[in-house]
Amino acid sequence: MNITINIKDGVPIYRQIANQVRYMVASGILLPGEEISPVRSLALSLNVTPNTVVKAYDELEAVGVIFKRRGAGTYISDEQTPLADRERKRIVEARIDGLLAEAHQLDFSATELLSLFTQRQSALNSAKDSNKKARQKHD
Amino acid sequence: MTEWVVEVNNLSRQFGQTLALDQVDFQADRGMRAQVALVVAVAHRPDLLILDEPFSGLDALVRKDILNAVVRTISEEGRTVIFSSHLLEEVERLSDHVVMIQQGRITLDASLETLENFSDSSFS
Repeated sequence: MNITINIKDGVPIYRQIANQVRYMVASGILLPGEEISPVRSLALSLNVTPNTVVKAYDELEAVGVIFKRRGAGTYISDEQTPLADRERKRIVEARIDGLLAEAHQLDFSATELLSLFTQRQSALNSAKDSNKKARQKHD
Repeated sequence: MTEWVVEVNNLSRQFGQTLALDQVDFQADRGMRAQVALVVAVAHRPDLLILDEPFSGLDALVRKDILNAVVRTISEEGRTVIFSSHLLEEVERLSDHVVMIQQGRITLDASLETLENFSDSSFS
C-alpha cells in the first residue's frame, strides 16, 4: 500500500492516511476484499506512532470503507459503489472550492470562470479529437 | 549478561549495522553517539523510555533511523516514550499527548487529537 505522508501539509497525519486509502479505493487501486497493511507495519513504514494509523483505520471503518476481522486483518469493504460515488463527488468538490477561492483572489467573476471552463473543455475535446484523427490517419 | 548482548546486537542491526561498541569514536560522530545511546537505553527493555532531544543535531538519515527505532519501540513492544523536542514534525509523528513548555511554564497540555482539531477548525 503506497501512502506518502507530507508533514508540511497542515493536514493531520491520520487524515492523510485515511484520505489516501479512500482515493485508492475510489480509483480502484484497492479492490473490495483486499487486505490492507496491518497497523504496526504501516506505522513502521511511515514512521508514525501506531495510534495514528489506528485512528485512520477507525475513521475508515466508521464510514464503511474498510472492515476488520478480529485478529485476522483489515480489508476493503465490498459495498463500495454508493460510497465511491460520494467520495468522487467530495474530491471534485474540494478541487472546485480551491479553484473558486483562487479565482476570487485573481478577480475572476463566476460568469467569467464558467465561460473559461467551457472554453477549456472544448479546447481539451478538440485536442483529443485531433489526436484521434491523427491516429486514424496513421492506421 | 548474554541476553543483554544479544539485545544490543539485535537493536544495532535495526540501524543497518552491527555497532562495534569498542570502536565507536564518540568524540567525532554525533549520529553514531546518538544511536549507541538509544541502543543502550532500550537494551534493558525499560517500561518507560525518556529521551531528551533525541533528534536534534542529527543528519536526516540518522534522524530517520532513530525515529524508526522509537516507532519500533512503541509499536512492537508497547512501551511508553517521553521525549522532548523542538522539532514539531517529530512531535506530530510520534506523539499521542503533547505538553508545551515556555520559560519553565506549561503553556499547553493536550492530546495530539485536540491540537489537530484545533488546527482543522482554524484553517479550513
